[in-house]
Amino acid sequence: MDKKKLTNDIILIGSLLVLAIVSLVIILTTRNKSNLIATVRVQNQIVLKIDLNKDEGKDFVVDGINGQVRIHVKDGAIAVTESNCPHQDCVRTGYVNQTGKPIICAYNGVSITIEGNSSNDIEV
Amino acid sequence: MNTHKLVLIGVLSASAIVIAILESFIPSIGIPGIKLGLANIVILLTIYELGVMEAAFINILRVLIVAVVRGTLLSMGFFMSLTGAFLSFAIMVLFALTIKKFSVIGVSVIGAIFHVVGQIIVAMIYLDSAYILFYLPIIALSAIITGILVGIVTQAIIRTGVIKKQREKYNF
Amino acid sequence: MKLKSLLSTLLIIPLISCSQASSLESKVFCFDTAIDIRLFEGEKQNLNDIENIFSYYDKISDNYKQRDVNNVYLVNNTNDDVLVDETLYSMLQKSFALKEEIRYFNPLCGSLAKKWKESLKSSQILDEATIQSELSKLNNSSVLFKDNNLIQRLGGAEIDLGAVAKGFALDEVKKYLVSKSFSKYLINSGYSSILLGQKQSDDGLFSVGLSDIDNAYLKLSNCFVSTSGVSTQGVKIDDQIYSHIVNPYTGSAINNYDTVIVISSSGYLGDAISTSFMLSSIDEIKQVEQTQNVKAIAIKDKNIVYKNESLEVYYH
Repeated sequence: MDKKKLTNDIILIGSLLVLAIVSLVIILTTRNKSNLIATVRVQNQIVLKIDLNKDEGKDFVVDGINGQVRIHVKDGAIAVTESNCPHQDCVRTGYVNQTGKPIICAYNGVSITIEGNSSNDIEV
Repeated sequence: MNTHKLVLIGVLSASAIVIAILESFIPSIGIPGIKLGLANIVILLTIYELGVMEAAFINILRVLIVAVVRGTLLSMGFFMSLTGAFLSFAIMVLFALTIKKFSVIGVSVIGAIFHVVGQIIVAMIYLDSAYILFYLPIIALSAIITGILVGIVTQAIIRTGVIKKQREKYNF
Repeated sequence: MKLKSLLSTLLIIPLISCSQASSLESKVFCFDTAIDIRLFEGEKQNLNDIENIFSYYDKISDNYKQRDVNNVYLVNNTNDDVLVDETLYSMLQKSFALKEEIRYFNPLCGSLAKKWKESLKSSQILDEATIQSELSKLNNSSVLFKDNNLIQRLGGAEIDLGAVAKGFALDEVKKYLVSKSFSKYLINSGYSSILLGQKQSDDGLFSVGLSDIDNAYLKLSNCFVSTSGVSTQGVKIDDQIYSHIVNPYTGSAINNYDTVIVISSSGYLGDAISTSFMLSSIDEIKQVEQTQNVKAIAIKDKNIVYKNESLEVYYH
């Protein structure tokens, strides 16, 4: 086999390995605060993405199919604070900071899901 | 076309498909649908020993047939495979036939890296999540190892000269 | 030249197999929540058919307002006979029959539950006087099932099928899916009533996460998963959690557990049982598991306080 090509191979594989291992180490050591993102959908269309860290303390108003829904972020958790729906189930759900079941305002067709890398097909 | 060439392409295609189907039973770590790319043994072999067009044909055929057989046609996994296959193919052709700076093993490793990069890009678009990138280092490591393995096997087959002998014998 | 014709044959393959889509999904908003329909076989028409089943059951079980068919609201607000259709008549019959078998399940808790909801909205415990008057209304109310699908409600208590309506709808959806010979599906009614077929994977099992417990999940297929819990609708007052699940004997809205999950082979049965289990003792749970052939898991303070022996909990 060509000595020169072999040398090139070793340099290539070596640098790729170093790159991969270094990135892996960086990722593993700097992942302190999990960056949770909440996705707000109206009737299945994504209308808003909220970062539960960066958007701390902020208020959002979303136009649902029958009215408006007010969303607030506090302490890395998200909640529906106001809604014109008759049952107010969404408001009573309160603050959520985990992936899993979404907050749903059926009257307005609004759903708020916290994205996660869960490998489950469904949560109960 | 030369019947012997046709038969050879058929055998190579079948091999690529069988390898890919068997590989699809290995569970994907981290990102659903991510695959090792062992069928590249056949693709790389074809690039070196037969030709670019033939390799392209076998590659696309492999992706389609495996998706049909496994019932994943037009799913996220299918588009991941397609993109990965296309990217790795293009880059392997470039390094095998034009930039001849690496051996078969080196080319295979580059091909393996682009194979997973293509799959990751599609997964990121489909799942609308940049978090998938966090899996890249560990998947890249497995791709490097797979690439070396695939390269060694391909090189061994090239060294036996079976295809070269077929070509000389039957003039194609 | 031959290579080109070979390449053109590749075009035929997608056409042959295009009918096999990997997953059809749809979302309908009814029963005051979102229903996620996922079919791993079939076509768009099947999704529409299932959506229609849910809309229909939503209409007939609605106890908050009038709809274009005679529904529970109408029965609750009429003193005379009400003509309802076959489905609602059967739902009501089954629910009242179930009341005799499942201790804490009572479809007449409607107005008691509403009064609790109202007072919890302003973070107040329902006063004892109202509880007692509602309980006596409940005990003095009944429903007469007459011929020709006529129903008459007597007394002041309101019928509320909220606990089991989704389960009934899922039972009908299951019948529909079986009639079409479909086996791969996942129908999620607001996470509290789930119908599982088989997953499109080698073992066909779905991983069902337990949201109360980190990384815990069950592997299930071909069953109904009914969940009752305080987490989404519960209100905390003075360190005690009050929910919408009311004890029909004491009128209390305090439950024994935070979440109960019941796995069964019938939607409405699983739903009724999971609601009743929230108020049951562990011995009562074990008894009903035996007689009704269901399996349950009860969770309190993020711990599994009871789990059926044959259920295995996995951890990621």
